[in-house]
Amino acid sequence: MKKLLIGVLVVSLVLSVFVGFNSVSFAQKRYKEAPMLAELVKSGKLPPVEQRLPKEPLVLTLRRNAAPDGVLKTLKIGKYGGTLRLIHAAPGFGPEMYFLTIEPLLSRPGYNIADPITGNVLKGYKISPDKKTFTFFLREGLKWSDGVPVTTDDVKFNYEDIILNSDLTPSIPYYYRAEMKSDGAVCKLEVLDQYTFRITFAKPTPGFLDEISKPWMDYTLFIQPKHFLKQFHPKYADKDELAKKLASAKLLTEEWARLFKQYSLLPWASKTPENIQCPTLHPWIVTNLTPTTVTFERNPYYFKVDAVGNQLPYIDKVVSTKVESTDAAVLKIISGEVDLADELARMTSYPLFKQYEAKGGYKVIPMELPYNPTVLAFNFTYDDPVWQKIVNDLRFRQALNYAIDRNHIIDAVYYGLAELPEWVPAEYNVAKANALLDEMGLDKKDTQGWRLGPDGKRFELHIVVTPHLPDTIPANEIVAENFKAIGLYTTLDTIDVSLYFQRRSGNQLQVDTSWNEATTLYALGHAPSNLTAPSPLFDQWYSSDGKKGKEPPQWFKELYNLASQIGPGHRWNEKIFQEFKQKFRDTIPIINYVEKQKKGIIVNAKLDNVFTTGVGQWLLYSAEQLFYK
Amino acid sequence: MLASYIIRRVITFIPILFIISILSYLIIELPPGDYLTTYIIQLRSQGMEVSQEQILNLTRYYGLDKPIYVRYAKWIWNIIAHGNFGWSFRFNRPVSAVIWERIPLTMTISGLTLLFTYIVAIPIGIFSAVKQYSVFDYVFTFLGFIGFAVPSFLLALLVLWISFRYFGVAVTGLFSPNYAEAPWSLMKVVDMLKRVWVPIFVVGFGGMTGLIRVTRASLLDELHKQYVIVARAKGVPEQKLIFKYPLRVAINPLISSVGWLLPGIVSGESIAAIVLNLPTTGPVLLSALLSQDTYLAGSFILILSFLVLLGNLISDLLLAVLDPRIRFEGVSE
Repeated sequence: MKKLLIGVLVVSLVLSVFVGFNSVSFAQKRYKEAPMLAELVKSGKLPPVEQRLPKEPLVLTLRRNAAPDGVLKTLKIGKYGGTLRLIHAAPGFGPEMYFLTIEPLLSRPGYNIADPITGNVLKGYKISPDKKTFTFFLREGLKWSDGVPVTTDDVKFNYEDIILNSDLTPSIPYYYRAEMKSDGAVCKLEVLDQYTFRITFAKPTPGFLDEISKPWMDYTLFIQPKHFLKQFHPKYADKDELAKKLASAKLLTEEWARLFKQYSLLPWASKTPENIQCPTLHPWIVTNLTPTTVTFERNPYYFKVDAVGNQLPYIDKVVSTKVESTDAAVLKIISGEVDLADELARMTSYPLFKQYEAKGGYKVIPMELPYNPTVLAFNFTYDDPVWQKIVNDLRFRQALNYAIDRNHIIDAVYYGLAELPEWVPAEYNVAKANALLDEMGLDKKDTQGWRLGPDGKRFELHIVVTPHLPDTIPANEIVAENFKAIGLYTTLDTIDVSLYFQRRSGNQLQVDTSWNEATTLYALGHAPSNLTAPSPLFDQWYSSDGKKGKEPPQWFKELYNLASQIGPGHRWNEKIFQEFKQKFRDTIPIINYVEKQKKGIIVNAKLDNVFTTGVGQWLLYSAEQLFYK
Repeated sequence: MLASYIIRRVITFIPILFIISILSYLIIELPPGDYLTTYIIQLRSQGMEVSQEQILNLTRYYGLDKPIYVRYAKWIWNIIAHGNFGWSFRFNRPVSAVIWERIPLTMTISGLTLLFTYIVAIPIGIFSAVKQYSVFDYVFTFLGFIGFAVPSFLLALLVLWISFRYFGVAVTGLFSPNYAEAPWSLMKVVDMLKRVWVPIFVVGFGGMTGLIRVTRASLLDELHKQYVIVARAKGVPEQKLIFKYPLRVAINPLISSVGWLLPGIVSGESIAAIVLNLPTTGPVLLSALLSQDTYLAGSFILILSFLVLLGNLISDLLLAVLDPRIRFEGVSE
């Protein structure tokens, strides 16, 4: 009997050990890592992958990571390896390189505001019913790129010692304020435990999550590495140490904020030998910086895995090379030295890129731009009584709209890669245009055939352009000719970009041809300010609550009201959106020449998990899913 | 006496440099807006929004909210008292770091180009003068003028295109992609030498003409002088004759232009460097001016102006050494 008991004991002990081993090895097999990291683990330089990943890593799924309307039918499981080669024009900074690494706190797939917002760096969130309090959950076990855990200490440090510190943040941005307004009260932070914190606003701010989930808003909004940055902050740093650092950087004691910023990750800041030392949560971290190259290698503590447990990203290395001119960029692309390019792949070289597709081993994929192409926005406050009388007549705006030969513009300027607008009537009808102008009272013409204004003098339309985008000048040249064809004396002037914006805000332009995002989907949160931007006195009227500037006509006020309801601080409302769109069509405050303009994105033919429709920038935001076939 | 001359010359540097610094600072600040306005417009054109508060923060961070004379005074004082040339907005680093890390490569390429130009042009000039109106003379004059007339960037583009289209070699920078980010090694130097002929050729080709024509003209002047005929009559061999007598006199105009070489070596060729994607100082100055990176552009211009003044002083001294006819007042024979 005793022997039986001992036997059972021994067997169960052995079994339990066996089962124990199995469960450990089962856990070990749950996550996989890149070979280059596995080697480091073997030699003891890195902890194993389960200890590097948070307890609940983000599992990459199709709609998780800025994937547009179902074009990428399946998110393939990729292979590890490879180097992604990019190019950049400004020293240490390039949009490709920048967007590739950004990790927002929350994720909003694509630019459609109606899609649900999910956690990215943060595990999740809860909104209070009164929309004033937002509770956020950090991922337990999430670590910085140097292995130090991320906790609410980092959140508190960022809030108290960076945002509320007037040396570091002289002016607190609108996304920390109630109702997402620049004059709103600053939010309050409450730390509940190591992994939970709460942001509270004085007024209901439902648009908060929309704002911080925008694809270019990095996690640095709320989380900064305290363990690294505190050595540069007078509140925590050893006085002598800090003094030494300031002296060697040739800074005075009161300039400590400069030193602090040099070492921290600021939005859109170019990479410097100082700020690449700051720990991050990005998929790749900078390991080498030369005057002409920026080299990234994978972050061993990156918090995302794919559906079968492979730690992302798939690609090991990213190298971005500086190009001094767009010609050099073109040569690099057609000789196959670039794996991913958006910004520097200019449209005017599109035929050349297509020609060398096979030889260079890449594909040119036409994808949409995140911003509107050039438009004609009317300045209703331009100080000329003749202009005022004419531009406020809807028939004038409709006539100009009918006079534009959009198909010609699409073919000549956009290589056929744009569409007729939906926000304004797209019909091309010169007869209707002429009829409307005649009906308006502009039917009298001078000896050269130009229409006379109500004051009996030749009516003149002055279009001013600035070449900040490649399509501005060619498109407006065609439009100017179209207007001349209906008898309107039109001139086209090109000026420098900063001079242009000076003149615009000085109310010196009849029409505004710079980009305008009043009709761009993702920027609808700022539709009101985009509506008033071309008419500076309306802008003043709204921002001074009616005391200064000029009061807009009733139809404009109604349009503005609708725009404000899909403006900052509001959740998506399809009915209001359609109303706004319809009213826009009826009143034509801005003439869109074309919409959904496309641009060729250069992608190495061997890259997979590449989606091919939607806005091109999305591809850059979801680089961790890319892999070499 | 020589020393007092040098000292006097150096003292005149100071007011000249002062005036230059004021002028260049003013001109750089002249276009409306500042570094931030163009930067923000650039960001917006890439689809990123910048809030008003961030603009304000950046303005204060860069010190752009202070009036122009305050900024100028601070800048000049920093240079004189601390040798600190200010901060480059675009590079996000101290100006001295930006310029200094590009100097070695710039001087190497410029130095090699200079060597190439002189070694090729002067013999051609001599030969052209000696064999005046021969086929050689006409051919090389013709080629020289073409090289002078064709803009360097166009020549660079042509070389790039021909190299890519017909030889399959993409000269996309000073180094091939493999070596671009690697630290310096023998292989990297070899890699660079394989490609450095492009900028040397492009820049040198244009610069040769001036040298050829000046050498040719000044030598021609001398060749018909009496002492040459006398030497020839006395039986001095032709080659020795040319090199020992007229050439020395003919070199005079070349030496007086040596002063311009100094700033040229440091600033390098800007336009061709941009097309050929070279990490030298020339493109840095151009982009600094375009983006109104005031301190970088201003400091650069100041340094170049100093080098011009220094170079002129050096060439004046060299001339005095070379030509015994030139002496300073108060220096006895």
